[in-house]
Amino acid sequence: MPIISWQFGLFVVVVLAVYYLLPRKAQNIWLLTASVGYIATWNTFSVVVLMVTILVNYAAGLRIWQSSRKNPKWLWFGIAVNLAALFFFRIESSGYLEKMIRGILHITDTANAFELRILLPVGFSYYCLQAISYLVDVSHQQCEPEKDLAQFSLYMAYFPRLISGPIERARSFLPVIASNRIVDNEAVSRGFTRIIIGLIRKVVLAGILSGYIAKDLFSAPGNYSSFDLIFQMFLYAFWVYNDFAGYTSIVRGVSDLFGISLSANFDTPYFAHSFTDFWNRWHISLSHWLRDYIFYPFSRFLLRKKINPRSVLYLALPPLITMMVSGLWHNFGAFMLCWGMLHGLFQAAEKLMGRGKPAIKWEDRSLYKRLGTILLVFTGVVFTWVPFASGSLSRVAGYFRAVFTSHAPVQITTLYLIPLYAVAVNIALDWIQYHSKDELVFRRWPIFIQSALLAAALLAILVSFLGSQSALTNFVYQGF
Amino acid sequence: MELPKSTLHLHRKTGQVLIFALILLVLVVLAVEGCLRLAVKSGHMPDPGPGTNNADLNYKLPMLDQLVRVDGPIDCIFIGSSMTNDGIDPEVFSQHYAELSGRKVTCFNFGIGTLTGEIASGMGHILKERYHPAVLIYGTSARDFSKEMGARALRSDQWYLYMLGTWNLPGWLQEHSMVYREYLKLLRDMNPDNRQFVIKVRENTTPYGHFLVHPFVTQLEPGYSIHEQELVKRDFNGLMDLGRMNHNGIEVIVFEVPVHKDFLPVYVNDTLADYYRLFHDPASEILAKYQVPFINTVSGDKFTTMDDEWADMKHLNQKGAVNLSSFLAEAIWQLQQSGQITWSETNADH
Amino acid sequence: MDREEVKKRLRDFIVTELLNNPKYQVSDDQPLITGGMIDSFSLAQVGVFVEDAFGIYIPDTDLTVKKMDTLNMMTDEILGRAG
Repeated sequence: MPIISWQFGLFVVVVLAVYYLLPRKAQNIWLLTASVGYIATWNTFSVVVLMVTILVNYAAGLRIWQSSRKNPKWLWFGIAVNLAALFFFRIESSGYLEKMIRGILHITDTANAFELRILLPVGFSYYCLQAISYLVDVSHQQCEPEKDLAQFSLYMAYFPRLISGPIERARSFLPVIASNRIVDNEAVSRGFTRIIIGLIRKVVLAGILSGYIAKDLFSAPGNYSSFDLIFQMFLYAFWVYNDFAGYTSIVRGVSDLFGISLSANFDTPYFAHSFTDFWNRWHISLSHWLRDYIFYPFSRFLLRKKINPRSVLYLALPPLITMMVSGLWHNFGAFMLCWGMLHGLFQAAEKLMGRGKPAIKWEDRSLYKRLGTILLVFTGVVFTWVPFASGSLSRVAGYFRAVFTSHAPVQITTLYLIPLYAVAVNIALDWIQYHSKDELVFRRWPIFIQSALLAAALLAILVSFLGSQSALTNFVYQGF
Repeated sequence: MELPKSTLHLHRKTGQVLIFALILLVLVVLAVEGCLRLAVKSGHMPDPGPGTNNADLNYKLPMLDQLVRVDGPIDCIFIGSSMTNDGIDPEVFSQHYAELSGRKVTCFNFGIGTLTGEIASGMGHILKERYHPAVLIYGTSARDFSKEMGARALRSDQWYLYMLGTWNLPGWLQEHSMVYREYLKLLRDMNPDNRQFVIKVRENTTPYGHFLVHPFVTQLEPGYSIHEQELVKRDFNGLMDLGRMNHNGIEVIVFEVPVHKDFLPVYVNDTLADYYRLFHDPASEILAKYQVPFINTVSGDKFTTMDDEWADMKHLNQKGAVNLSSFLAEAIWQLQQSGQITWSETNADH
Repeated sequence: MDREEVKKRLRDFIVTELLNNPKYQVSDDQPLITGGMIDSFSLAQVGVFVEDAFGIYIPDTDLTVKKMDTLNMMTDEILGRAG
């Protein structure tokens, strides 16, 4: 059941209505039931995988707590099982496993009869990381294991964040699940504001932009001029951002209506001050997970081995490794490894160029330097979207070859004013949030202005929803 | 800690912003709707059209609405593809028919590019319900039944579906809301190809819907021959559906839109025999079942053309349109004389 | 563990090793991470420094803006773990 559908809207209304009527103790059971029902609308296999994952990690968490800290075997067992499952589903859904087995079976002449078709379980990549962080935190005694299976199940399966995050930490999320929830005017206001902002991003802005991104940009880049190729990636950058940030805003808003706060996942990423800062603003829950469970342990390991913190080894290796892992998490392909490597290299490069130089407060830099830095980081990020969007390394090469050699005529016309308006609205929206440091600053504006903006937003959402239903359902981060 | 009894704690001022927003939205939309309707009615602004995915339909519908407003009820409507759009001049038809019958009739050419048999049926129903013409004249050709030559985008168009009885909100808005129609027009106008198309058709279309084609080029178009596998059953079903409309408050007449004599032998499966086997004869059979007259222009009815009446192998130019329109007026008058059709006097007289 | 002593050692470490500017005046409540002065690379160094200087281990998951943005917050974190 896609998030952008009247069916999901109806589902939320029904779940909320019953939720508000239930006594507190029954609310978690109801939410768990609704969550299982929600994932079942995708396919039964995903339900089975989710339940098995819950049981394995629940048991592993208890075992880790009971065993000695000096004997982390249950921790490694838990991590290994989760990673093995992630690896298996990734490699299978990418087709490598089937090709490999076909290659083997050719010997026995039964290759043609062999078919291995297993879907990537919906949301697995996300709740798998959530499970690993739970086990590590229990092992490090950052939190106690959840003894109530229903509460632990809800921690893993909570439907607003099940499909594509945010990835929640046990330390902060388990107490929320266990506590009483109050949904007051503030929560409702927050929730609806997030839902409206999310719909504007996903339905209006991403919906408009998706209609102007060429479908054959990477399969036939020679059809486009250099200018068009670069312009298309510029549009793609805003599309992928609004698509994912819109989704996150909607699910956070829905969750607010249940009295459960979900973590922020985006913070005006295209206003990032550096490539490192970009990852504190983009897919925050994932990047913080990678920081806490890969970057920090690896960096501290190097430092404890007395590696010079200004050396190339310390400044380059941890970001490279971390971002390559991020790439592989997204997709088991060389092109995603390339995407991760680029981000790692950019972070390493900016640290290496800055080593030994005195740090300057961001506000103390001149306006031009700040603007220049933001534009430079944005340009670098757009560059990295090429492998992300391409699907293969050969397409990446084909794209860049075309950028430098294409003789196709420029196709940009007044038609592109429409996506540019969408980009302008995005930048305005982000700038307001960036400048005020509050994603919901609009709620503090005079009521008449709020009403006017809301009226315009509702009209835009309705018109967009009417106009392009095909662009609204599945989105790029749902495939992970 | 004692848990509160309920989760929801809202006070009276809940939803203030939402309520104001909804009121503001309704007021603004109604105001703009009112202004746009006034502007269109008074002629200060052209009707933006229903905003479908067919550019011809978008400008022809308001054109026909305008004609009805000025001239009164419409007596006959021609439908078909671009071959009909280019090949029928309703004013010439009406004039010739008046000379033969002594009766003045007003006709409109609703030929739209890419039309197929299935869409002809749908458009026939829509135009019948909307304008109540006495006669519907469908100009058909083999390409109407070929999946290669027929774009079928209208099948999924919201307005088209709405008009055929499948209620949907976008379709309802396209039909009833000037604000929505204007919005769709604004989007279309952003596309320079669409803007140029609209300018070109406005300059070259008469108030009676005929597209004036001037250039004369005669070259065999390689690869345009329709192959047997490409013929689409759904389109023949559309023809049947049109046939069923006959004598149900409307007279249906079908004519064969001519193609250049050099193209005819290769038009269908590269043989003249297959033109008849795969298109002409099945179409004749279907129409005969519903007593729909099928006017031949390829054989049997002595319709001939000169080379300078063609824009290309399938489209007549303005000169050719005069010829075909006069021929059809005569053919239809003869059908009336022989009692095969009844052109209702009530609809015709004004 | 004396609060001012902890703060002084942290301040010296930060201005010398992280900010590369020994003369820079870091106030107790100046946001270092949100102010763009230090980042996760630096926080890893802070973590190891705190282990070496004070024998206190700050878990990776606590090297965050919420707990380590200012000198005062870092000091609170260290003293809180020192018991």
